[in-house]
Amino acid sequence: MTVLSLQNLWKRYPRSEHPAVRGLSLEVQRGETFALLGESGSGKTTTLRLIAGFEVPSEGSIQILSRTVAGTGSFVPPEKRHVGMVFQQSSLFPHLTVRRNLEFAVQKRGDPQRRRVAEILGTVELEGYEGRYPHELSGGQRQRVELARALISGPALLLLDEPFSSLDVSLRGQLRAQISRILHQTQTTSILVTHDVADALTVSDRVAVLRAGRLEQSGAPREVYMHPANAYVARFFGTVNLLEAKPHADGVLTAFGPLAFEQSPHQGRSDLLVCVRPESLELADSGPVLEGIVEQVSFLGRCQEVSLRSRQDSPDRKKRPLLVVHLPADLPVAMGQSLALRPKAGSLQLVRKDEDWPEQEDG
Amino acid sequence: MRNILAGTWADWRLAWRELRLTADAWLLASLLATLLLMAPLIGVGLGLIAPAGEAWSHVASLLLPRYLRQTLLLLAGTGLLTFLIGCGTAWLVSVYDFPGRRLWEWALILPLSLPTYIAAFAYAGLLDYTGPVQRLFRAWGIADAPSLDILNLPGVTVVISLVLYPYVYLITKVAFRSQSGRLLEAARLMGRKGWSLFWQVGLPAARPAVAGGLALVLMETLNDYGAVKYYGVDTFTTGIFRAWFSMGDADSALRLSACLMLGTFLILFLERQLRRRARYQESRSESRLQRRRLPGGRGVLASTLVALPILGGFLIPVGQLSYWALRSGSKLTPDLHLLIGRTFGLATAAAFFAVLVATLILYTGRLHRGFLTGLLSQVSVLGYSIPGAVIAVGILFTSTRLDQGLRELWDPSLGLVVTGSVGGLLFAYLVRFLAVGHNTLHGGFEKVCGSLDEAARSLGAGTLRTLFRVDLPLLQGPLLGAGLLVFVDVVKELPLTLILRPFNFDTLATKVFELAGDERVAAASSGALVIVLTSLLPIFVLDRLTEKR
Repeated sequence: MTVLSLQNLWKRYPRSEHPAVRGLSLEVQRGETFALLGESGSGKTTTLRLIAGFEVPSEGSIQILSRTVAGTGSFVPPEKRHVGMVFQQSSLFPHLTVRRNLEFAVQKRGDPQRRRVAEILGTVELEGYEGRYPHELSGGQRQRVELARALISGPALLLLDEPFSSLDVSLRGQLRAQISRILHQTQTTSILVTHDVADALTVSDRVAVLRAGRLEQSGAPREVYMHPANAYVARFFGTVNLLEAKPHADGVLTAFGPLAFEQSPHQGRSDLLVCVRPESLELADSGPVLEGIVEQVSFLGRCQEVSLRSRQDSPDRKKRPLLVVHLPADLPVAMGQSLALRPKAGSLQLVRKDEDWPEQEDG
Repeated sequence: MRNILAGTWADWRLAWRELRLTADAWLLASLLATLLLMAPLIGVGLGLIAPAGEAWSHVASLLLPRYLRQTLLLLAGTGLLTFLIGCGTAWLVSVYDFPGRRLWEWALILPLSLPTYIAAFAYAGLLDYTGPVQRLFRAWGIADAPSLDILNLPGVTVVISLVLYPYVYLITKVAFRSQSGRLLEAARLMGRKGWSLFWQVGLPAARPAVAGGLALVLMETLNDYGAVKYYGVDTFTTGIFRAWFSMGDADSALRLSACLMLGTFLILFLERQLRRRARYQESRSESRLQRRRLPGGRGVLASTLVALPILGGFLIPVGQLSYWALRSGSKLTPDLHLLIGRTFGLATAAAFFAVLVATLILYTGRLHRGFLTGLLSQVSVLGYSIPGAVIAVGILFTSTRLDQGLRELWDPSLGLVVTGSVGGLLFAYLVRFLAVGHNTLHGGFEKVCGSLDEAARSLGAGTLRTLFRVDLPLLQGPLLGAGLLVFVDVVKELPLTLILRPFNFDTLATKVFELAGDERVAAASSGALVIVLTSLLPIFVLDRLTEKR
C-alpha cells in the first residue's frame, strides 16, 4: 500500500533564482524506510518540510494514505497530517519531563495515555526515565525519547531529519542500529533525510539521491551503489574510478587498457564512462588487463590505497588519468612499479557523463 | 534596486498563492494590527496630498530654512561627538587593559538612563548664575568668570551627545570584541598597534556597527523635544509644537512632521546602504582578543579618559539632581506618588499591549514563514524610527477626523471621544515602542523556541495550544524583558505624551518638564530621579531575563 506519494512537486522561494525542489515524484510503501540522500542544498530538507506541512508546495501534490494534503487548491496544516517528525536539533520541550513530553502527543487522558507512555518507553528501552528533564539525558537517550514521542500517536509516516548528525561517531553506529530495529519492530513507514551515505545504506530499504532539487536515482541501496545511473551518483557513494571509454571489440577501451563486457553495452554511444570501485579490482596475471604505474600508496589499515598513472602517451604526465585501487595491506607495492589489474566479475558499470563532468575529477 | 519593501512581481504572486491556501486568523489579525499601527504614518503622508494652507507658505519661507539649518547642525554635532566618545571609549575598553577597566566598561552605558530633557535642565541649573559652579567662581573671587551660557546650539549638542553616546559605544564594542576580534588579533601578529591598528583595521571593520549606532543617535536626536526647547534652539520638533499649540496651524504641523519623517527615512536608508555595501563576516562568537595592558601613566590616562563620559553623562547630572532633591527636603515634586502611580500604570498597560502585539506578529511570522510576514514585521516596527512628535501629529490628525465622523454618524453633541484620550495615548506608545518589545522577543523566539513549535505541531497540537503550552512558557524571560524595556521607554517619553495627553493629565515626564520650564528645578528633581532610577532597571535585570533558558 502506498503511504506517501509525491507528484511533480516544486518549491520556489521568493528572491531565489533556483527552485529548491524541482519536479520531484516518488512513492513510499507501507513499512518501508526510505532515505533521501543529498548534499546540503539538494532540497532534501525542503522536501521533508513540504511533506510535514511546514512549507507550501509551489506546484504539484502530496498524498498521505491517498488523502491529498497539499496541492490542487488544498492544504492540510501539519497538526492534521498524522506525520511524526524527528528534528535535526533536539526538539524535546525543555520545560517538560520525559513523561510530559510523551503525553503531549497523546490526546486521550488517563489510563490509555499512561499505558501508551509505558509501552513506548519500553520500545526505546528507556523505562524508568519518565521523571527526567531533557537536559538530564545523554545525547543518544534524548534522540530515543524524541523518536518515542514522534511514534507514540502511531503516525502514518515518520520523518527523520538528519537524526544522527548531532551525535559523535561512536554513538552514531549504535543509535543507527537501534533506530533501524525500532522502525522495523513498529512497522513504521519512514523517510530519513541525510547527507551521510552510511546512514542511508545501513538504515534504509530504499534510497533516493537528490541533487539541486532533482531526483537523480532511486532504488535499493545495493542497486544504487553497484549500478549508479550517472557519474554524480557514482561519486556520491565514495571513491570511484570513472574512466572515459571508447567502444572497442566486445567491450570498451580505456586509458589503462581494454575492458570486456558480457553484452555489448554501449549501443553506439560514445560519451561513456566506466565506473569501477577501488575494491572491485584485483591483481591479475593473465588475460586482458588494466595496467598502470604506481604513483602513490596510502596505508588505510585494513587495506592500502594505490594510485596508478596510466601509460598513455601524453606529453603532460599530470594529464594522464589516475586509477585508484584497494589492495590487501600486506601486499608489497613499490613506487614506480607497474601493476596489472582485472575487475572482479559483475563489478563494472557504464554510466552517462553528466553536465559537470569532468570538473570534479580527482587529481 | 531591490529594497526590503519591494519584492519582484513573481515573489508577490508566489506569496499570494501560498497565503490563499494557508491564511488563518493569525495572519488576518497581524495584518489588521499592522495596518492600524501604520495609520498615523499614513495620516501624515495623506496630509501632504491636501492643498497647502496659507500659513504654510509663511512657515516654509520664514521658518523652514531656520529649522532645517539648526536641525542639521544639531545632527552633525551630535553625530560627530557621539562618534568620538562612543568609538573612542569602545576602542579603549576593547583593546587595552587599565585600572578600573572592568567597572568603566559597564558604567559607560549608564548615561542611557538619562532622558535628554532631564540632562538638559540639570546642566542648565548647574551652570546658571545661581548654580554651584558660578557660585564657586564668585566665592574664589573670580569676578569675570568665563561665560558659561550653554543655552544655545553648541550647548544642547554637547548635552545630548553626553547621554546618547552609549548607542555608538555599545554596538561598536560588540563589533570590536566579537566580530573583528579575530582580524585585530591577526593584525597585531603582523605588528600593527595603536593608531594604525585602529585606523587601518579596527574602524574599517566595525564600520557597519558604527553606522548602526550613529543612526540610533541621530533618530533619538530628531526625536528630542525637551532639551532643544529648554535651550531655546529651534528645530523641527519645536517647530511642530509651535505650529500646533501656539499657532493652531495643524496644516503646517503636519507638513513639518512629514519633512521630519522623510529625514528619518533618509537616515535609515543611508545606514542600510552603508551596511549593505560592507557586509563583513558575521561571526557571533566572542573572540578572546587579548587586551594589552597599559603601563603606569598611560594606564591612568586611559582610565581618566574613559571615566570622563561617565562623569559628564551620568554622575554630574544625577549628582546635581540628587543635590536639589536633598536640599529641597520635603518639597518633592507635587503629587509625586500620584504621578508615579499614574505613569507606572500607563507604562504597564503600554508594555502589556506592546508585548501582546509583538507576540502576535512574531508568532504569525513563525507560522507563515515567508517574505510577506517578514514585511509585516518590518513595517509594524517602523514607528520606532519616527519621532514621537510626528506620530502624535499623525494620530491627532486621524483621530480628530474619526471624532468628526462619530459626530456625524451618531450624535452631533458628542465631544472629542478618541482625541486626547488615554486610549489614544496608549495607542501612540504602541506605535512608537512596539519595536523595542519586538526585537527583544524576536531574539527569544529564535534562540529558545528553535524548532520546538514545529515539533509541537507535528505532534498534533494546534496553533493556540502550541503557543500556550510550548512557546509562551519557554519565553517567560524574554516576555518580561521586552515588557520592561517598553515600560521604561514609556516612563521616559516626553514629546508624544505632551501632545496626546488628555487635558490636565500629567505623567512624571510632563510634570518634570513643566516644572523645569517654570524654573522650579528643585521641585522637578525628585520626579526626574524617579525616571532615572526606573531607567536603570533594565541595566541590572535585562541580561538575566533574556539569557535564561
